[in-house]
Amino acid sequence: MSFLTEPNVVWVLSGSALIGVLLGVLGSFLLLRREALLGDAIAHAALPGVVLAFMITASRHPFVLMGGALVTCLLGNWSVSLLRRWSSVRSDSALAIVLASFFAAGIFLLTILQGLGSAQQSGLDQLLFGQAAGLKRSDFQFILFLTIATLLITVLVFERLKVITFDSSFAASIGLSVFSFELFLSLLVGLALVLSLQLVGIILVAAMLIIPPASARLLTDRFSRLVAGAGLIGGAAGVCGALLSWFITDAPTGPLIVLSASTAFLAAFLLSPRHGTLPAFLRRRRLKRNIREENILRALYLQAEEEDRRRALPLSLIAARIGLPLRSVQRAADDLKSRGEIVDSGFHEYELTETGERRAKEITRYHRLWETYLLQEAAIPPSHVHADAEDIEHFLTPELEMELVRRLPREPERDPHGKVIPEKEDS
Amino acid sequence: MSQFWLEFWVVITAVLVGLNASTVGSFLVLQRNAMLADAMSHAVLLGLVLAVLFVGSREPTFLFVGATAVSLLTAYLALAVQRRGLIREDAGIGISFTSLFALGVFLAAIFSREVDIDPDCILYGEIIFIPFDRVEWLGVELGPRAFWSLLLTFVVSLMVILFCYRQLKLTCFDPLFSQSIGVSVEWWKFVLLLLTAVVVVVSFRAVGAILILGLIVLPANTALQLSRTLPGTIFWSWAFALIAVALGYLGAGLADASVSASIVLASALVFAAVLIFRGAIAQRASRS
Repeated sequence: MSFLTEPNVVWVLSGSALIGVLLGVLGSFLLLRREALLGDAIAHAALPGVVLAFMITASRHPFVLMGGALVTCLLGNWSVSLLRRWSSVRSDSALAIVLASFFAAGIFLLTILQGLGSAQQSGLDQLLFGQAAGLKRSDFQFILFLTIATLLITVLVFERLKVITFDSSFAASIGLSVFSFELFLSLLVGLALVLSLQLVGIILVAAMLIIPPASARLLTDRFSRLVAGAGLIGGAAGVCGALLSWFITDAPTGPLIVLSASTAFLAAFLLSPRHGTLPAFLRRRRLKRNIREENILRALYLQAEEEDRRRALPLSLIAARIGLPLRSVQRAADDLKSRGEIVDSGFHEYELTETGERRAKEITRYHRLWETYLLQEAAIPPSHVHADAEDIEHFLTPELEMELVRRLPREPERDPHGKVIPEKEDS
Repeated sequence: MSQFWLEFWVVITAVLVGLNASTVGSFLVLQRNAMLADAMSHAVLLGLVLAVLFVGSREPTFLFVGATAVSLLTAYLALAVQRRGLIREDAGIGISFTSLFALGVFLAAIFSREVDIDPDCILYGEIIFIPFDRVEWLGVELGPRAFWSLLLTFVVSLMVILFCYRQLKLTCFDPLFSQSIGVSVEWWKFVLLLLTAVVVVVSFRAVGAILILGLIVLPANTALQLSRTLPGTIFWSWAFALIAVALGYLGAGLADASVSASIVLASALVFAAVLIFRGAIAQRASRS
């Protein structure tokens, strides 16, 4: 790959990857502490610091500007906590107030600077949108150092961080210093944001604190995997964004890094096995179909029970009994037929097969056992137990069935309405 | 145009932006949705870019519709991506607006020839150029376009608040109760978000995407330090917005700085002063 031979590209690429990892890991703690937007306010607070540092020292040395930015970032963070703790201002307003006030101060100073026609001020407003091409070796070394330090700290005191993140009052009660953790976290977040400004810019940098951890949150329920996943997604987004900006003419790196992360989030949001929209939709649909099929089987079984012989019923009658439109019943009946649980006995009438009857018996047994259980153990009147059993019959498992029988004084033969509870069949 | 009229229109525009922003701000702050305003104002950029790219004209109506639609979309996207217990509302806001803003910056950069949006305008607007974009109607010159759109917005939001005062108040203070007596919280939230979107869009040229947040949250929060009623909060927020515009305009002239940034900064200083003043009174009261 020829473009990798250009030294600047290597710095931008590896810098973006490291920034992604760093902000992803730090953002996980913020996300779980319900402070996702804090990074946005802190990042905006960097602007007056950079401008002031430049005004005072007239130097464009990165250390000077970053030092100034870090000071106002911490000041902004401190103002948010101050407002939340000592005033009646609500926590969302506290963020918005600090963000807007500090940013206004920054723009105020910046425009004074521009009015003075200072030749050197160019580059300052690049901080707002980021200018990845300007990333230098010294920036990269700084980022590398901070990332390694953050990862080391996270791994070494992981258990403590976990306790403080999830339950700070419990952590305080067992003697962990929540205050120093918060101070340390805000220092790390401040430093990481300041180092990322060159790459992503003030306005978008908060995205890298929020989006990778939120994506990881959708993929896992374990804290350690969440932190690692956020780092990985952040790093991957950094690499993708940097590569894309190389291949698309005129495309800025910062927004592309953020958009890569957004794509990862969108994928997790739609496809995550446990919390994704699509799997949840499919699960719901499968459940619905299952319930519909079981209701058809049971309607046929009840009819047969009533007349004491296996009976074929027209679909329209089944649909009316279970209160569903004919079309959806037709579809479910087709599925049942293809699995050999019911058979078409001509004239669109269906009857149960051996397998179908076994399944119908099982559901009916669940239904009637549950009714008996409710009546005997929960003292619910007989007139009220049916509706509840109608729902639960689809969710009971053989294990739960055994548990039900165990809890009843003796295995019942008839349900509260006097109907026979089918015997358990050996399968 | 004489210097007087230039300054006159700038001040009038600033006053109207302040009044508009603090009106919707009072409701947003009470609903604890302050950061939603931040998200919605950022999204204006993408709306403008899309309107220019798809319609291919800079007709103000298209720009207005595009920006308002995307701004509303951001708010609802923020609500849509949250998952109970997994991703809270604030994270949802952070995800939706940063993504759409990044998309806006990206599109503006790669289609820079067609779009040509000045980044400075996004950040702090260009209120001093407001007097030059004028409207004519039947050959009569009526004054700056921004003035009329801001005035119209203000009148409309006043009407909405006057006629639907009870519903808006209920959804701010007790959404559960209002739902129980048949007031649709969702609908009135939508009305408020629509008003907010319109306000951020019509104020965009004057103050940009980020500073409008200051005018939405600062006067309203200052007012909440002094008032315990909704009408009181709105009136005080207007008063503080006017004070901020006056101080900010003077400050900008003295320091030769951006008018809009100066107004927000003045608003922040007024907020800090009121907060300290309130704190001092509370302390004296508790001592005696």
